[in-house]
Amino acid sequence: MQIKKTQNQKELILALTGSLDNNTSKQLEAELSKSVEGITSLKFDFSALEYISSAGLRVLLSAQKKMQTQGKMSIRGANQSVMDVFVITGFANIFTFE
Amino acid sequence: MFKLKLIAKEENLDTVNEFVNRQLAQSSCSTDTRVKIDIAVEELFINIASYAYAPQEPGEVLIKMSFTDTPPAVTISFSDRGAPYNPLSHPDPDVTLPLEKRQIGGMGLYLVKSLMDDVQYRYYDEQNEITIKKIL
Repeated sequence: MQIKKTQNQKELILALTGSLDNNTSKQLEAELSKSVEGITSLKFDFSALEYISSAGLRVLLSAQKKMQTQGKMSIRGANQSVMDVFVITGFANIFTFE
Repeated sequence: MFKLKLIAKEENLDTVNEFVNRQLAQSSCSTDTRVKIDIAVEELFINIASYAYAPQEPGEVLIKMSFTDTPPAVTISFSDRGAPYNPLSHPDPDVTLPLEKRQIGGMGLYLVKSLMDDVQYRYYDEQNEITIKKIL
């Protein structure tokens, strides 16, 4: 998985390419813990994300909880497979989609 | 029947995925179906890697994969020699809870049950065996 990071002042955009699985979700977790400080708008671009498992959901859930206290978080570009996982797990009702 | 036996460690997930996808590539499987199978395989393999054995003494998992014809379907089973444990005995998580009350525990297995057409568990020959089936 690749993470492309774009920051404009207090807005951070993370564009993910590939699979957010058990192993790569640790990479995203590390990126978030070092980059999200002081950010008020966290945006995920999932247009090149092919796959997400419960390990990826875990990281997104913790990011959402963190952003709840300091700003907002949104997701754009999720493909059908990724959306299916959000819908099945009820996360479609928790996350904000652009 | 295709078989893969390896140590149940998280780092081996890529090897498991490659094995499963190599066989799926020979079938009539759509990308959407392949992704669903990949998710179920990851969740089950990681569960075994995380819980079946003591961390300092990881044991083996045997993965068996076979295809049937009418209707076209794939069956994949995972066997480990950990203590008897039926992951299907847990109640499903409440997926309607708001953010504050959300926990991720149990979500992986819930995904497996939702994405697959059939999920079975049995304890047989001193092994936990969980079997998933997906119509292709």
